[in-house]
Amino acid sequence: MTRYVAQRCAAGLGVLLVVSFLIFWLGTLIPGDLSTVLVGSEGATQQQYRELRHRLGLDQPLVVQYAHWLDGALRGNFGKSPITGLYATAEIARRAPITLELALLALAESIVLGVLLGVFTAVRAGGLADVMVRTILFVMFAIPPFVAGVLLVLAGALFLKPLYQIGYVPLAQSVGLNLRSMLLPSVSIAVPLAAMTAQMTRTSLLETLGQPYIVTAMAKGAPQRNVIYRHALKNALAPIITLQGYVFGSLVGGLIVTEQVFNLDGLASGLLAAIGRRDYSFVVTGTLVIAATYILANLLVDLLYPIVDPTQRA
Amino acid sequence: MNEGFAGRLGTRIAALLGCVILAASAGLFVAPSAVMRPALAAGSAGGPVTVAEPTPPDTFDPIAHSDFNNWLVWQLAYETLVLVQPDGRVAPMLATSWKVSPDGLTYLFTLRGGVKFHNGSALSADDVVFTFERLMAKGIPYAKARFPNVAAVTAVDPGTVQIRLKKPDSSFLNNLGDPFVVAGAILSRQAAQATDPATKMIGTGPFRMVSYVPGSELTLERNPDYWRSGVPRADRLVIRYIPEAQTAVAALLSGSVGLVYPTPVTVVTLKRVTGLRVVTVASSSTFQINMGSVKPPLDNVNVRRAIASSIDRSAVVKLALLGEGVPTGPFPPGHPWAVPLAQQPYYQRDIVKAKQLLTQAGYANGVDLTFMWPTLGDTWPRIAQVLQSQLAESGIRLTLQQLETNVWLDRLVKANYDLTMTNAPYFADPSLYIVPRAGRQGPTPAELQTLLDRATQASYAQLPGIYRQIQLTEANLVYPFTGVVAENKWVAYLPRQVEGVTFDFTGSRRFYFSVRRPAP
Repeated sequence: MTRYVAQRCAAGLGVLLVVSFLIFWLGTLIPGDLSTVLVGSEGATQQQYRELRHRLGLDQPLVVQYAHWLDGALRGNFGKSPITGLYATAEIARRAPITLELALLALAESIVLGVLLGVFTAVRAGGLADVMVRTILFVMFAIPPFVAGVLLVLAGALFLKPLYQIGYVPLAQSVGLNLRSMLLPSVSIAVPLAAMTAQMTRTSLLETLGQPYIVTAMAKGAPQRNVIYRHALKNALAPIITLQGYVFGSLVGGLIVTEQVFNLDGLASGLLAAIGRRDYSFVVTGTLVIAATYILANLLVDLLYPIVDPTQRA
Repeated sequence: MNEGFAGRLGTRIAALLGCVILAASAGLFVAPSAVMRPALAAGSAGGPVTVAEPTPPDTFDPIAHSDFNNWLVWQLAYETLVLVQPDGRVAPMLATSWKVSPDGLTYLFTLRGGVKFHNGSALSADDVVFTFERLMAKGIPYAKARFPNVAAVTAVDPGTVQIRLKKPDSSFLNNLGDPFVVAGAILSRQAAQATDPATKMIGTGPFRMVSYVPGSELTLERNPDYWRSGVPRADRLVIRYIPEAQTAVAALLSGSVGLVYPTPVTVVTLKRVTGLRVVTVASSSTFQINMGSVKPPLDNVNVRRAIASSIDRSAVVKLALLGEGVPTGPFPPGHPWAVPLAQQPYYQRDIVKAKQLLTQAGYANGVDLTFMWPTLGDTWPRIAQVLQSQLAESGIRLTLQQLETNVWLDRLVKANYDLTMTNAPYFADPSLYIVPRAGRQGPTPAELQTLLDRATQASYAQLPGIYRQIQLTEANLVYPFTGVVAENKWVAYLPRQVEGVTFDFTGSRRFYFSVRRPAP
């Protein structure tokens, strides 16, 4: 087990190295570099451009620039933006917890809501309640997050003032305000995700409920509640857990719209701003954090399998 | 056994989630009382004023950014030797008086006594020397270009600074007194060597910086040592950066912020809301069409004239700005030196003439051009679409292309485009409304260069006449750009949270010095 985890971690580090170089290389392919941003729309002579690019080290070959960055990174210095004067690591350390908290809360909310509704609809499969709940979930899933987000922000400002807090409040500062700042954004992400989880739970559970051992359990008169939650749901969990691993990975990198709409200065909106000012030390480091989260989430899911499924145990 | 383990695990997870949700809801209901206290304290006069700005500053260093939105915060904490007033007069600021030598090459400034930087050190002539040394060594090209003729800055004594110019420069005082303090902000040598000016402002201004959460919130407080008594009126000013326009509206409606800068879209909603005030100003923010005059067909003056003659500026105002603006030349419409559009060649729409000009240029069948613009807001694509249909009538067919802002910048400053649009803010130095920018277009025509050189050497009294000639020449050559429209700007605020709002056409935020929270 330990060896397996070590292997996975080593492979993960390799992936991170490749990702960092790819981002570096892709960055140079985009027209407009740091010197363009510094000059702005007011223009500069060719001579001024050359001087500026030299000062920023942009005239060096890509491999040299990358080696320079990697050398710093291995010593814990992931670079500093020449524009903002901020260190990439300090900015990410400030922003990542916001995104992670939002992603974890949204995931937790979506799992609770999704699994409960999934069981509810599976048990009533084909009935009116099933159709109605699934229709509502389908509509929720179809609403784009920026529409749902803007509507929630405006509704929050007008009708839900006690639940509404614009901008992020750190957990250490106030638990209540922190949760207020996170409630509407996490709900806006959780609802469409819950729709997905509910559908997956329903399908998986229906399949399990048709198995002979369930029929046997029912026939011998075991309480229905026990049969569903103890016997059936437990065995139906594997695909749902896999789904959550992917969802969490993509959530961390994909919260940009939500962060913009709810004015949370998380990792995703930080990345967008950094791309806007061609601050590649931040872009590369931020992408590495997201990639690492993805790798860890999937590792965690793989480690969870043996717990829910005895056949997977070594 | 396994089943039992998994079962227990399931129960534990459920219990844990239950606890989390319970804690969350408890927190939510506890929260209102937790926020009540600061909110009540804020009710008293002189309490904090909270405003929302759409664009967070990337840097606090006043020699390191060329974008207007980034400048807005510098003027709150930094000051300049002199100050250009909205009416164009140059007033004393950190310098109480100045003398110019008869040849116009030497300026002698007497510094105000008793001025302190936010770190407690006293302003001296050495700080002014340091400011200019630093600008020349580290300034971005745009900042340096504000003072192209400064030869030497020397401290005569701690209270007197001498600035020598290479040649007379009629724009010098105007750039020195830019209300947005670009390049001219006086820094403290001591402070700038100890703290990176990109991350912290240590100036002599009315507000001093308390904290900044990058991209999110800037907190300023009254500078207790400020040399003018009673300024600023507010103890504390909190600026929250909210890029999303609808979110800013929500923040205003909920009272989280007391003042916002609406967009052309959100202002329509806000004007209908009772209990808040919306101030409209005809601003100096203008849009111009730039033509990549380095290569055919746009190196041909008649093609450029045909394009200029195809534009119906009033229709652009009506359709793209929803009536919230006015047609303009290179100078904003209210500027005393602006030549009326009726007198400028090729500023009136004339499709017949446009077609003639195209035929003369050898493009009787029309031309195909690309029109690019940056991703900087809804106004840009709307203007582009209106222009596309207007130019089509003369046979000028535009392919529209919206680009990521830096990709656009890269092509703009290398003159690698057919047509594009730029947005100019208020400039304290009027020459910036008309000078061609380095690299953005083809070579400057000789007759225009002669006039531009004359303007630099001229006395201030001669400038209006020369600038009139420059405007007429540029309109005739349709070079380096042709003005299109000036847009209105708005500020919306809650009178119960903010009083003393006086927004003017420059877009300056100096009115934050006079705002405060009214007594409840």
